[in-house]
Amino acid sequence: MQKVLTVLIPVYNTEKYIKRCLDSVLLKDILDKVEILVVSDGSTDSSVSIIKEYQKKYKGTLRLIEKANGGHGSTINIGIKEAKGKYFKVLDSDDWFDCHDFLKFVEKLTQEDADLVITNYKQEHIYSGKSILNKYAELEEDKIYDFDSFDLKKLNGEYFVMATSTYKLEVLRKSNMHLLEKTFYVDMQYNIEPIINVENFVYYDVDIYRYYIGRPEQSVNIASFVKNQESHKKVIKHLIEYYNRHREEYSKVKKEYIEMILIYMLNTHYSIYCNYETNHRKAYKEIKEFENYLKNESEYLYEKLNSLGYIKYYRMNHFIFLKHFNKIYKKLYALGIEVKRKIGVNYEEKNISH
Amino acid sequence: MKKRILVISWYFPPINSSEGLVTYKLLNNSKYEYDVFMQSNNELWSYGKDEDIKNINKNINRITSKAKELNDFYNEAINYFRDNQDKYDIVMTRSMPEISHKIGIEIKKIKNNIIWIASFGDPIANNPFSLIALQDENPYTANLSNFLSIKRFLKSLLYKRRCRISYKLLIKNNNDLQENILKKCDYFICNSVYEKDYMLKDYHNKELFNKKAIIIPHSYDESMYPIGKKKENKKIVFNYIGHLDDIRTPHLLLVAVKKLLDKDPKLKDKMELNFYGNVSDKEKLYIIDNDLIEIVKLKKNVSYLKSLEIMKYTDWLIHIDANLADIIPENIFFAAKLADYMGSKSKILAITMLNGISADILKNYNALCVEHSAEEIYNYLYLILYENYSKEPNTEYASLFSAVKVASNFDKFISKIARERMVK
Repeated sequence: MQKVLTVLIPVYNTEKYIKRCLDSVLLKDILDKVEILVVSDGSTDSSVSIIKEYQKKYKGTLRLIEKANGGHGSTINIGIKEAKGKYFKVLDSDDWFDCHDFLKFVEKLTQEDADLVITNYKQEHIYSGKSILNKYAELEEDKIYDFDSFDLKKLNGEYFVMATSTYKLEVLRKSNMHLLEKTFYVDMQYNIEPIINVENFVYYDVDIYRYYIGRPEQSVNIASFVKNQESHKKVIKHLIEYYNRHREEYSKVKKEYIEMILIYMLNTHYSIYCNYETNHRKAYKEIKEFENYLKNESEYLYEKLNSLGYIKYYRMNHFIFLKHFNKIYKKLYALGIEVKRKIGVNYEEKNISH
Repeated sequence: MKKRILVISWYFPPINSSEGLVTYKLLNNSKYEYDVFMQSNNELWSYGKDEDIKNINKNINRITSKAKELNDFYNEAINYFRDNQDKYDIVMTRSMPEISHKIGIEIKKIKNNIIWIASFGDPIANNPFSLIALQDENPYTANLSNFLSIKRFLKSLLYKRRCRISYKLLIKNNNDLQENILKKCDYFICNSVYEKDYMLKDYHNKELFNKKAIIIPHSYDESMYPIGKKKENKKIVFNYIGHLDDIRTPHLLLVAVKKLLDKDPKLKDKMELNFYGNVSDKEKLYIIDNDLIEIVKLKKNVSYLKSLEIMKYTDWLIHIDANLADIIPENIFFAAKLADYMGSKSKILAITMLNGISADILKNYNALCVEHSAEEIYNYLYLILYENYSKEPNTEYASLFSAVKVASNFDKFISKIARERMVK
């Protein structure tokens, strides 16, 4: 009997967290319905020995694949190739599922046939003990939406992310997606590339995914964006080129959806250089180079970016301001952040954002 | 070694306090003889007197001060030492409170060749608990409206300035005191490497201090656990024993129980969560407001021996550490209760930082360690209640913390320093 769901768990040196992750999915009532596929990406700590202990106990359910280090994307590539379940979901090994909702989810999935199943997720800010629910508030529970005629306004400017998406395995395979290896931010590939084959999706109002944020700086992520800017550039260029190749195959709604995500990504990419890169000359050089690339590769995305005020402004002065006056701008920006912090901006619940 | 060792400790049984009990278990299992200078009138920061602890060995002689204030205790201890200094070649001072180490500094001035061992419960400098407590919320920056009033804005600035000055002064005093202790003492005891590393992290002469350090972990005394009987109960019983406040708070645990209750209205038939010891009013209100009173029981304080009995005959013990992730990257606090928990050989569900001394110990004991997340706690409560999840303790590992073993290591240390100084 085919399992209804494959949960892929990419592992790289997460010995401290892996038990919590595995305990949350190996539930007695669904052991025959789910496949837990753990891919160790060249882990060097005790993660693998811990997983092997679980493998002994859950022989028919848990499968461990060990491979040389190739990055997060490589584990998903191998996962999609090896998976046997009807549906496919990724669970990072420092994250976990809510047991109760996961049971409910798997039960519902046994009756499901939509190409994509959307659920909610929670961010777990461990350092503060806070939990923030991210949900698609305007989607109707259990309703099957035809993607090509879907009203994107219902997403309130958000999109489906790895933590909220469960794809039908055949949709993933049909998309011939190959995530970039040894590269960060490949989850954006996962969010975008399979959409071409998604005819419909359904929304379950269950909060399965628990997204672990251990330290305050992880939630902001700016430092890592700056540090890994080359990865970000690589992924965004890959996706722009991918979109250009397939643009004509998309329906109007899907075009709008993908372009919305690409604009978010471009916004982040421009922000790295305009707001956070401390080497201003480097930022200037990078942004000029990227501007040329974007103009040549995708004129419509280039033009669409003018809808973002700061980009339009920078473009008007040819980014010279960035090169020479960015220190002042950054000080003002930092002051703004400080004021925001002091007045105590505090969200208990919010919609999903990039 | 013929002479007795003088121990200065504000707390010692019958005062029922974690600090005193730690010292008691160590000395009571040691082969050396001790005079313990202690106070018997002030129960502040303790859980009252516990006359149950009767099996104090002959190797311990208690010298009780009637002092109610720390300064009086200080003066009495110094006077006692002046009058009896010839009796002692080794003195051990035990904090908290740190007054005992101040006495140690003075003793060292009176008799320079005495061997002084300063035993630390918590670090004095940059103690994360003090740092949290000192970071009081500024009432003037609670919301946006405060910025719309110039008067409030100015008051806010003044308030912050005032706080900053007193805060800096207190930190400086504590830092100076700890450095002075480490310089003057001959040896100092920490309960874990984490604590020692934290205490020494900012000193230039770290290597010199490092040579003086010895790690003596907290211990449990097997002989103290009463023989009782486990009550028959269809429910799974979780017990927390000890003091809780707004920093070491059970809040996330209660939120998790509330979430379970929302999913299962018959939860009271499946689980019982008991708190023995102080719980803050805020949490009491949470229990009432969220209809948890049939599941969560607030019990009266119990004697130390009774607490050991409860530990021994429970399904799960709950351990809670403060969430200090905003202050320190790893938990440096080895709660004395953890040793008693392990001595009971019961299963432990610990809410702690995954980096640090508690997590290291508990993982070796095969306890269930969860982080400060109501969702994670909820998940494991769910697994325990509905999926028969269990974690059998590693009792062999626990035995490393038996008072007999720990005291034996302590005795070896005493023998060594006595030999080195040729104390006879």
